[in-house]
Amino acid sequence: MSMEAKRSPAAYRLRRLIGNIGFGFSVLVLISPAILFFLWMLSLSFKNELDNTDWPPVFIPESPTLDNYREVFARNDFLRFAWNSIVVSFGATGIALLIGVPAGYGIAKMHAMRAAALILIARITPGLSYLIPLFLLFQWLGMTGSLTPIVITHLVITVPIVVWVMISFFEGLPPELEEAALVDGATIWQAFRYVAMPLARPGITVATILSFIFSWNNFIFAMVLAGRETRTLPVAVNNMLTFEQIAWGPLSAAALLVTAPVLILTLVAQKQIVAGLTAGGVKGA
Amino acid sequence: MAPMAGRRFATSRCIDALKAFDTIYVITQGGPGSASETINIFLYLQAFAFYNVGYASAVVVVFFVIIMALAALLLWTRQRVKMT
Repeated sequence: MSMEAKRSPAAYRLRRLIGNIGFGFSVLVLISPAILFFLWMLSLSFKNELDNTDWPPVFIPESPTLDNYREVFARNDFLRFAWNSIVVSFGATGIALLIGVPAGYGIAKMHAMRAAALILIARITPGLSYLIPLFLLFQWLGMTGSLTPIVITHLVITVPIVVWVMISFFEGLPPELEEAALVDGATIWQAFRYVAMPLARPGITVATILSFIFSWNNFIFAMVLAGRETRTLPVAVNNMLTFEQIAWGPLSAAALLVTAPVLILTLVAQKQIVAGLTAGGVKGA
Repeated sequence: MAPMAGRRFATSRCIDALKAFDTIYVITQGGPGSASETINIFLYLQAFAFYNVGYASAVVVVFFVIIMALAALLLWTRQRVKMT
């Protein structure tokens, strides 16, 4: 019981209410830029072109339509681009997990801080710097028409994320458990496979979600490497922007469709994502 | 602890800001003229619009040095946080 409560419960309750309102208000101010542009996009996607360019701007349309969404699917091969994005994101995340989880385990157990620093550097370096040599390489190999080079370049983003998240998770595990397994005659691989990995399952979940999100959102790799048929969703949306005159309705409808999976994933797995981002110490993009 | 975390946050955001590409490219492509051209956009235009691959690679190396300096700062603050 605080002093406040002893003095007068009503005054205490009032103070708390004011405090809560103040807190809510400051949170609202902080997130309003992010929320407002999203709401505006939502509004644009449900209005016809006339309302979209109207002045003063219309926020809530009188007659909301779904035409913009219909147009997205009619005018583009949207499903193909969605499939491309799914293949690339899942492929890159899967391969990154195969490589990254054992790598993170090794680095954590060996205290290989130099290797960890190297991974951090790979995470920090802008993706564009990898792109020039990779682009030339794929051109020489004649692979530019397929999804393979895009999956491979996305590994540049996903592998460091997975390794870095896994290092901090494996470092948090008590070493006694694996030591017990080793004493009982397990090989180091068995200790990893049957003891450490099941315990680190929450870490693997975090790594999967994060690397999927970053791969899904990535723009420049596919922008440079993708051909007409192998565009991923962000590139497809960008192309809607450049090649037609700007049709705000279909554009924001497409942008919303691209954002939706990641947005839902973020809402569902909020807690894990925050844990993963702070574990990495660096927010990559 | 708090100022350390703040510095660490500032450094990592700094790196993020240096890496900004998508937004600028989609909205202005560095224009009008070169008013909104960051190193990243400059790099992209040199390499993939003008095909000055050698020149762009030199820019990458310089850019990389800048990023490395920031990364060293970040690692250093991380180390300090761990020690305390």
